[in-house]
Order: sequence, then structure tokens, then C-alpha cells
Amino acid sequence: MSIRRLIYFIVAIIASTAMADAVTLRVEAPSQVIEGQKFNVKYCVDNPNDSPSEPKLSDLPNCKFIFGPGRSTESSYSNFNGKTSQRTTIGFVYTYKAIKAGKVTIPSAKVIVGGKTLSTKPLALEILPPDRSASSAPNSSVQAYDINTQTTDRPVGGDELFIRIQMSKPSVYEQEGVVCSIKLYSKYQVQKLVTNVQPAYNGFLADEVQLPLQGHFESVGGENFYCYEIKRSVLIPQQTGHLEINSGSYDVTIVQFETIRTGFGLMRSPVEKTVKVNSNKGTLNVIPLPTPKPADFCGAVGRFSVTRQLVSNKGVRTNEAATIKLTISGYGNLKSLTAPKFDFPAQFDLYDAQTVVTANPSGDSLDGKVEVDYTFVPQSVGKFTVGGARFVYFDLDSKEYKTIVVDGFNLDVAKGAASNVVKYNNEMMKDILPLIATPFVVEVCYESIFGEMMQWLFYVVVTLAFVVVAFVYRKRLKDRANITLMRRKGANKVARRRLKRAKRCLQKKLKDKFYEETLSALWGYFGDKLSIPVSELNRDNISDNMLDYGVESMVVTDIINLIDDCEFARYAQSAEISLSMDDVYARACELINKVENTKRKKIEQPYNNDFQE
Amino acid sequence: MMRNIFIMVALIVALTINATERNYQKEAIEAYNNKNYPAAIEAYDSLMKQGVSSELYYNLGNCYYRSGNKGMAVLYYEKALKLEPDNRMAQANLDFIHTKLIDPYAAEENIIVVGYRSVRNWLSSSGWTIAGMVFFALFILALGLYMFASSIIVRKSGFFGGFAMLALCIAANVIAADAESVRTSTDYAVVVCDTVQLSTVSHIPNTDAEKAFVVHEGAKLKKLDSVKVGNKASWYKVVTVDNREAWVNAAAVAEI
Repeated sequence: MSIRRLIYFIVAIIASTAMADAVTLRVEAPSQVIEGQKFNVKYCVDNPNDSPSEPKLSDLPNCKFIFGPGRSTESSYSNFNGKTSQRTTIGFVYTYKAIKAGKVTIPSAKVIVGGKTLSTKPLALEILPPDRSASSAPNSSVQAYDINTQTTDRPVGGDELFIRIQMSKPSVYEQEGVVCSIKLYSKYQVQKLVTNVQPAYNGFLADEVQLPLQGHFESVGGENFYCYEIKRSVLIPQQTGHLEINSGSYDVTIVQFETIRTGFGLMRSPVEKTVKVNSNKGTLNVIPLPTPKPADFCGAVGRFSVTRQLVSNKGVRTNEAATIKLTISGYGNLKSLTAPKFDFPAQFDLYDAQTVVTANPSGDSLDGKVEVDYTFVPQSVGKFTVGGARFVYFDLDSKEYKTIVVDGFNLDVAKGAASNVVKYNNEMMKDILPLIATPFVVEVCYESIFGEMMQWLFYVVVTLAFVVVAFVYRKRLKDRANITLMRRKGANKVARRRLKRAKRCLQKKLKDKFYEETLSALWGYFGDKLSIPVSELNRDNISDNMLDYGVESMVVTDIINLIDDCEFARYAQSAEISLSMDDVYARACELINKVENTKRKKIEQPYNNDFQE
Repeated sequence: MMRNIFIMVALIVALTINATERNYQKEAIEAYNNKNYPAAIEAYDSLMKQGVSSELYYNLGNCYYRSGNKGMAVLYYEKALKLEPDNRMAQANLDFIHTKLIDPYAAEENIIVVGYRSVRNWLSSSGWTIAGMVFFALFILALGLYMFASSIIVRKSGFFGGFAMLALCIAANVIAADAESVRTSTDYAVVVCDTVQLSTVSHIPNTDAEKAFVVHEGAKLKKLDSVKVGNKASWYKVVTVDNREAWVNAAAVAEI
């Protein structure tokens, strides 16, 4: 006794000279045992400063006390970053046997150490019923907790090793979350799992939940299995109808035990075996949300709350961006809802709404928030109202559509800095314009024709050409006027020559010819004199122009009479001719003389003044 | 027989040469769409050996901007506008980049100058020269009408029309001269490195007194004078858009 006390005393001193850690009491016990199994419950006193008393225990329900307490003393030293620390633990071990299945609580125990009373928290203990197959015929079926039944000669059957896809609910609304667990059940211990064909979540939005790699016992159909949850996901169906998750295909490596005869007796040696396992198909019935859906339904299903906030740099001003931040927080299909829209006035330039979703799987849906930024740039000064938004969602608890009204803002826009916005085709540019993708032509040298010889030559040539043409044209006009002048002057001579010809006809008594010549002399004379082409001559314009010329009207009448007589004589073929050719000839000469001697009256010629004599 | 063989061989050679010739524009567009901007730049640089165009410079500007090199982007957009002052896309992209540059960019505010420039940019200098010639020809025609027409209305219109056409001819030639001087000027340069310290003297500043001010990539500078080493200029005396003068190392800028 005294030696033991001495040991404790020394330990206490060491403990106290080392780190002054507090004395703690804890309990170690399994969370699950199988009925009929023995198990230990250990109470540990860490860093005792004195010899602890024996723990005071209450009875453990459904269990039979076998043996205890067994004492143990452990010390551990650790060196961390140059600091040494030491921990001493004194343990009390009690052995029990589980005799009845059920969920029990290991009651708290008290230990008095160093004058203080420490107690443990109660622990839950699950006592699983033994395998049904075990009770009827022991050693004929595999039991998870008994390796004697896990011999290598046993083939691994589908009822000893299987994988199940389980949905937490059989039927959900569209966009309502559901948990999908893929669990591996095995009577043997599992070493390794390889997935060959992954079950696909088609028609769902999936969020995987991180699981600790831990197995536990689960009773299925009266048999106990090692159970490992391979994968757990929160699924949110995006379509209605009967949705299926295809069965997965896995390679599972389990351990069986080989019996080896040794000199000491029978020994069990572990042997690995790999088995191909296919899971079942997962199914889920998805029903559509009730119709009629409200017009501004945002596609959200769950429980939500909404807040909004205006963020601006020193107030709202023209040509400066400001943002309305809308936060939708809650529990539901955060990743697949659509954000409601605010009603911005036309004078605000809008950027595309930016959405950030922070959501984590929780329970059978997602928990988190959706933050939407509506960035706008006011273009004019004044008071503007941004109309509020309506967030409409489907509440699963009450199974009806609910609306959250989000207020808008009344903004007073002040004058800001000059516009920093570049416009192209009257649209705000948010990025540079795209590449010119249509093929274009490249040229080696860009030369302009400005200042080239060609340009000067052109001007010189055109000017010269004009001068030449103008000159020539003027001369021609002059000549033509001269010709007219010449004709007029020579009218007399030409007429006399023609009359001479007429006289010859007269002498030869060629009547027709005589009158022809006389007429042509007369028409020709007047045509030349008056500068009118013979084809346009007639009695009227001869008499008019003769009067204008200054000839007396009596003379003009005589002229007309003479022409009449000649024409009559020429074209009338009657024998009666009271005319004598001599007379006509004399009259013609006389009249021409008279006209020649008439002083010419000044004739009005408005434009060709320069070309007259 | 030999002649036929010769023709065949010539055809095959011609076809294969064409087949192996790189279609630079297609390559560049593909590279650009795959966000492989260095490859696009390389393709366009190769194309530049064959010749240049406003579109080529514009596309290079886009490639450099996407690569994060705003200085070179500004340079190429300015080059594009120098070749084709009417290139609206290059002007828009240039304006857009200017909102992202550090140095202030003073856009021309004088409405008369802006108006004149937009008129001048209607045609190239060659175009204005041809316009001048056309107006002159019309002037001559009007003169002829005035001198030789008989109807008084035609003569009057010839008289006044002639004056108008002569005035337009002179104006067109003046604008052509201005456009040509803009087109051939080598007065402007763009800063192509990130930041550059300017000096008050024509060499690297040795003391604080010799430091002038700092300009950043994309700034447009007008060259006033230069100091040459051999045939190449090593330092330029420049003035910025906000009328500050200093000397800059020629290596930090690129001529438009």
C-alpha cells in the first residue's frame, strides 16, 4: 500500500513539475455491441494530481457485469516545437456482457481525485440483436462480428455483401431537395472499394456531402452488417416524372480468414477477396408544382427571406456606377432559382445582373444565400424611382405560393463626373469591338495622287483645251457671221448672175426655165439679204422682214406681186399668158435695184452685237 | 509531247505552292477565337510582310489589347486611323482603351475643328484630289456656258456656278493637301512600355533636377526634336496632350 502511495506521489510530483495540466475524467466505450458479446468500458483519469478513488458506477441496463475494475497506468511524452509535455493516465476497465438488445445509456460515473469529484457524461450504447441465422444454426452462416464464420471456403453471396441506393423520400415536388445515400452492407470487413460505373444523377442538381470514412453496425432484416456510406448527395430534381438513377457497379475487396494448422493450434490468417457488386436502381417520383403558377414565380422552392441594399460611392451620381444588392437567404433550391428584377427607369444604363450563390448541403436541401448585384449607371440628373421587385416562392410546409415584396428606391441623382462611357452605334461599349473577320486586302505602299504629275497635267491640259476650244469657237462664230454678212453683201451679185441666166432663157424663148430661174433668183436674193434660208422663206416673212429692213411698203407689194406672177406663170400651164417675159425680167431687175438702194434700217440683234460689222 | 508534260508539271507546282501557302488571316482568326493571342499576333506580323491595311492594324490592336498590352494596342489603332481616318471601329476601340489608361486623354472639344476633321475624313487625300479635278472640270464647263450660251438664264447660271465650282475646287485641293500631310506625318508616337520617366535633358536623368515627369503606356506624344546616334534617333523632345514638354528615350516609344 505505501509503495503504491509512494509511486502515486512521485508521479504527482512529476506531473506537477511538468505542465500544470488539469485533471480530467473521460469514459471510453463502444457505441454498438451485438447481443451476447463481451465489451469493455474504461474510465480514464488524465493527469491525476493524487491517487483517484475507484469510480462509483450505476448499473448498466441490459448488460451483465463480468469483471472489474482492472487498473492501468500509462504515460506519454511528447515533444512539440521544443516544448516537452507529459501526460499520465490512470484507467479503470470494467468488462460487461450484453444480454438484451436495445438502445441503452451508460450512466455517468463519479471519481474523486485530489479532493475534487469528477463525473463522466452519459454515453449512448446500442445493443444490436444477434443475427437470426446465428441462433438457428451456429457456424452455418456468416456473422459480421464472428471471424470464425468468415472462412475462405465460403462463397460471398449477394445477401452477405450488397450496395443500396436509398432516397430519403419516395416522392417530392419539382425543385424540392432529397437526400440520396449509397450504402455498402457487408458481413465481412471491407478493405477497398473501387467504383467502375458511377450512378448518374440525370435530371438532378447534385451536391455531395462530405462523409467521414467510418463504418458502423446496422441491422438489416434481422442480420447485423458492417455498413459504410459510400456517397451522400443532396439532389434537387429539375424535371418532373419518374426519375431513375442507374445502378452502380463496384469492385469490393473484403477479408476472409483462412484456417491454418500450426503447432500451437488453429490460427486465422486474413485473405483478401475482390467481388463485383452491382447496386440497385434509385427511383424517385417527382410531381409538378401546382398550377396555376403565379406570373412572377421565381422558380424557388423552400423557405426564404429577402433583403436589399443600395451601395454607391458617395451617393448616386450621373456617369458613376451604383449597385443594388439583393440577398435571398434561406433553405431550398438556391442554385436553381431565378432572381427577381427591379424596375429601373429608362435613364439608367444597366449592366447584366451578377449572381453569387453560397450554398451548402444541409438536411435534405441546400442552406445558404444568393446575392444578386444589379449595377446601374444613371445618365441624367434628377429624381428617379426604381420600382420594387417581387420574390415569389413555393413554401413546402404550407404547400402554397408565397410572395415577398422587395421595396424599390427613390433616388436623387446628382451631377457626377463627365461621362467615361464610350458609345458605338448609340450603344454603351463594355468591351472592345470584335476582330474584322471578313478577308481584307493588304497593300505594299499607300501612295496618294495628290501632288503627282497627273494632277498638274490635268489642270494644265484642261485649261489649254478650254482656251483652244474657246478660241476656235469664237472664230467660227465670227466666220459664220461673216458668211451671213458676205451673203447679204453678195446677194445682189448672185441675183444678177441668176437673172442673166434667166435672160438667156428669155432669149431662147425657154419659158418654163425662164420663170424657174427668175424665181430662184428672187427667192435666193431675199434669202441671202434677209439671212433666212430659202426653205424657210415665204411671202409673209419676206414682206415683214423687208419692211423691217426699211423697204417701202409699195415696193414690198410689188415684190410679192412679182413672185405671185412668176409662180402663176410657172405652175399654171394654161395657154393664156398675159405676162411677157421681158416685162417680168425688167420688173425683177428694177425691184432688186430698189431694194439695193434702200438704206438699211438698224436691225435689233441682242446677243451678237460683237459679231456685227 | 514535251510541251504537254511541261504544262502539267507547271500546273502541279503552282497548285502545290498555293496549297502550302499559309492563309494568315484564317490562322489569326482561329488563334484569336481560341484565345491564343501570341499566335494571332505572329500570323498578322507575317501577313504584314506582304503589305498593310487599316483592317490589319485594327486586328493587331485587338490582339494586343487582349494580351494585356494596352500601349501596343493604342499604337496599332492609331496606325489604323492614320491609314484610314474613317475607320469607325478603330476609333471606337481607341476611345474605349483611353478610358482605361492612366494618363489623361484630352479629346478635341472645339466643334469647328471636330467638324472640319469629320469632313476631311470623308475622303482620302487621293479622293480629295480627284474631287478637285472634277470641280475644275465643272468650272470650265460653267465658264463655257457663260461665254457661249444664248439663253440669259443659262449664262447667269454659268457665271455664278463657275464661281462656286472654282471655290470648291480650291477647297478640295486645300483639304487634299491637309489630308496628305496628316497621312505622311511622322510627328506622333505612342508610349509602349508600362511607365517611362521623362527628363528635362536629352539623356537619362542623373539628378532629381533632371527628372521631368512620368508618362504611362498608351500616352500619345508629339515629337518636336530629336538627338541622333548615327542614323537612329536615341532621344526625342516631346510634348504631351496636356502641353508638357520633356525628353523621352526613343526606345520607350513607337512611331505611329
